[in-house]
Amino acid sequence: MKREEDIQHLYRAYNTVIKPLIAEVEARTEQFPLPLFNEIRALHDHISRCYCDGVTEEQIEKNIEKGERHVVRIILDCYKYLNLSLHDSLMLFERQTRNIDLTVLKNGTFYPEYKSLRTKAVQMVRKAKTLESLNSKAALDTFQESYNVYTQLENLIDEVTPDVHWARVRFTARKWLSVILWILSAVASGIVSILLGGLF
Amino acid sequence: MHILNKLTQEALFRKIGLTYEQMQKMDAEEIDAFIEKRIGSKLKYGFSLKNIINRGSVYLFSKRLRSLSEVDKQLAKI
Repeated sequence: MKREEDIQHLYRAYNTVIKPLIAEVEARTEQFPLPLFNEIRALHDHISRCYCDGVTEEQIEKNIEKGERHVVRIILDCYKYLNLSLHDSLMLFERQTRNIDLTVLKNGTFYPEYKSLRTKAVQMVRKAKTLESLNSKAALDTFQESYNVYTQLENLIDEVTPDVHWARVRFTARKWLSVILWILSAVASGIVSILLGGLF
Repeated sequence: MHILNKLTQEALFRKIGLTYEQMQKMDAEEIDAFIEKRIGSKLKYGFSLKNIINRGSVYLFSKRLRSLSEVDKQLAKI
């Protein structure tokens, strides 16, 4: 009976955690993540070996234990990949807005919020990575928290996307204005120096 | 057992378009078909997940897996 419960536990982990996370990886990357499917094969292999003819209780226990380790690895890999994917989209946003004054967005509230969430997400990923070899449960929870912070950042960026266009227009206008002012001041100083040269 | 919190469930819904409960009731093929319809293209095989090292299969590591369409093409030549 204990064996059945343990195996049910593995399948429940697949249906309630692994399957939705893999769907998210697929939706974000538009790819079948083969390394994750390979891990699922390994998990399934350990479960099926619990039903071999002549299998001992000790072997079953070992296979369930190995299966549980695969479940943890799959979930860890899903979170790692999702965090990495979200971080890459942030980097892209930062590259695209390199020449834009982000402090003007959302009446000045966007940039401080963005900076603090970004720092928090990066710190959490680093913490989760150190926890990975020490306490897998805590690592999973921390990876999930960092994923949550990254998705908050993604929402924040989505909210300001229309304003980014106006910030870009404003930045370009300001840049051209400074160029025009520079030319005008150069012309004015030239005229003044010619006039002064004529006087003396 | 690790559980997906409310924030994660909401994020999944935003990106995939299916609720957490719906996903549990659907089979993997149905979910894939839904995602393919949503993104407007077929899912491709991803051999490596960026900086994550592949585990347990030399075929994955060296990107030597063959797709079934390739196998069919080779079979047709026999």
